[in-house]
Amino acid sequence: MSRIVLTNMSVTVGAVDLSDHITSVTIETTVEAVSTTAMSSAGLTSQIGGLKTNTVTLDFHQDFAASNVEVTMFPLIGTATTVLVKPAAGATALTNPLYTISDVLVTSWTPINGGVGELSTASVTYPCGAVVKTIV
Amino acid sequence: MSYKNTSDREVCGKKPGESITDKELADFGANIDALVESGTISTSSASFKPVVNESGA
Repeated sequence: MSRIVLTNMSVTVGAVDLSDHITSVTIETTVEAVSTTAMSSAGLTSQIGGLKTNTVTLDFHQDFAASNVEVTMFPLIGTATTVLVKPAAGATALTNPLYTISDVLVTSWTPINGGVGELSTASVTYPCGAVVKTIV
Repeated sequence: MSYKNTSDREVCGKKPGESITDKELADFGANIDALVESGTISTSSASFKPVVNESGA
C-alpha cells in the first residue's frame, strides 16, 4: 500500500457535496476503557472496552452563496444528518473506502468566524452515531 | 415523489438540474425539509391546479 496525501477528498453533508469548501475532516472513534482491575491483577491495571463515542470534525470555508455552505448547514442546526467521506473522489474501493457517518447531530454552527483580513471559516465537531466503512 | 437539484453542486450524486427520488434522498440520509428550505432541491412532480370558486350570479 502506498501512503496518501489528501488532495481531493469527497465530503457530502446532508446529501450535498461540499468537498470544494471543506479543508479538513477528522473521523474519530473512541472506546471507553472500563476498569477490570482486581486484587489478582499483579499490580497492573486492566480494562475492557466499554461504550464507543464517534465524532466527526469538519473545517469549512464559509460561503453564503446559494446552495453553498451556510445555506446547507444553517437549517440543519439541532437536527441529525448524514456525512459521507471518501479519501478521494471517484469510485469506492478497498483503497478508497467510503465512510458513512449517520445521525450526525448538528450541535453548533458559527456562521460568522474571523477577523479583518481573514478568510471566513467554520470548524465544527459533532457527535454522531454509527460509522460504517464500505469498500465496494 | 421526486425533486429537482436546483443547486449548482452535486446532491445525492446528481448533477444540477437532474431529478432525485425520495429513496435516493433517504439513502443519503438527507434532511429533505432542510434541502427544500435552503433552495438546494425543489419539488419537480408537483402540479397544482388552481381552485376555482364558482359562485352563483
